[in-house]
Amino acid sequence: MAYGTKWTFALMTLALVCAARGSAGELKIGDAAPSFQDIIGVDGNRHSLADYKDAKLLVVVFTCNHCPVAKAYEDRLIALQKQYESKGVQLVAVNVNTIPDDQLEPMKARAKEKGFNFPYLYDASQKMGHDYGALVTPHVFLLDQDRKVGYIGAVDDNMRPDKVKDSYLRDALDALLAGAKPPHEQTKAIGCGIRYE
Amino acid sequence: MIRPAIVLLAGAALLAAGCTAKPLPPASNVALGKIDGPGLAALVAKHRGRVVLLDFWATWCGPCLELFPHTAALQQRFGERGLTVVTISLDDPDNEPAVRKFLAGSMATTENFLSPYGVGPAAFTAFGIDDGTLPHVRVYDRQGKLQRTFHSGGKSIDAKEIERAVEKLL
Repeated sequence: MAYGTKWTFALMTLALVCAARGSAGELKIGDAAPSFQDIIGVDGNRHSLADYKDAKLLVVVFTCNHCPVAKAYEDRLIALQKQYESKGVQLVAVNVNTIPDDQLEPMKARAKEKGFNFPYLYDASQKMGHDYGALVTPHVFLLDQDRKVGYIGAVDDNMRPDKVKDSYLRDALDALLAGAKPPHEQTKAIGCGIRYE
Repeated sequence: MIRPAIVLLAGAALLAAGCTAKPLPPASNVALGKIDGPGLAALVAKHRGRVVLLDFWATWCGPCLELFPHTAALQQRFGERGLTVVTISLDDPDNEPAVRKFLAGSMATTENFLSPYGVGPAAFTAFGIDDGTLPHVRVYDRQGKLQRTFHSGGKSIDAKEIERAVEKLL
């Protein structure tokens, strides 16, 4: 009986661990977006998912300061926010790296220097990264009106803006705004690996 | 006038390479080929009979630049015992001058290639790098069978661990 109880407990623990890993690392299209609360931004305010309830679509982009690939996409993110704001789209950038260059003060400096027109959040606990299963910077998670995941992956198909052929995120935004399915629901996000502690 | 300068330069190169006996390639002459996914598979097959180490790197990847000298050194150390180190840069093709410059600075006597795909999902898909990031190292045995894969996960890969994996197969 004691053995039985032990085994049951062990199996239950294993099941819980597997479930937790599944939800953390394998966010899928159609899944409910992991919530986030009180994440500090470069504006000094705390940001939560609920703050953006009025946005038709929410683009959560994991990015950071130090990564050349992430930097190459900053201007494209600024342009997307500018172009899609009037259509009810809100972009939120999140950094979960904790190396010195990626901490809040350098983030504030970068946001100012580049003129970010979207919130830039710092989650030193890295929980958001784990919850979304973000692997690299930049890594995009587009959330639909019901805050379900509608697109996961890369911003587009080339780090060099002059060589882009497929604008995956832009196409996904256009599709979801039109009530259609994105042409690519999932692409491979590539860039600098997020440095999980 | 010129000769002492050449001797000095050669001496410095030897010192930098850890005083190996083999002459090192001049900076401007680093061999750099183009290779795609199928080409790389064929190259690994061609080297059957030798242990092959693939080092995927890029100039935009900090941890790659830290790891590169270690994998390049393995070529110097274990080349005669049957190791071939192949480096594949996942830089943009237009970035070739910077790739060459880094290779020359590293005194790399490895077989060096540049991906034709540009920096995007296509390159990582073509070479089967599932986690979308670098550095990425693979070690194949003498039969051409993949034995070890080292993923970075955003951190540096332990060079000692790669060395142990290579030595085990030699």
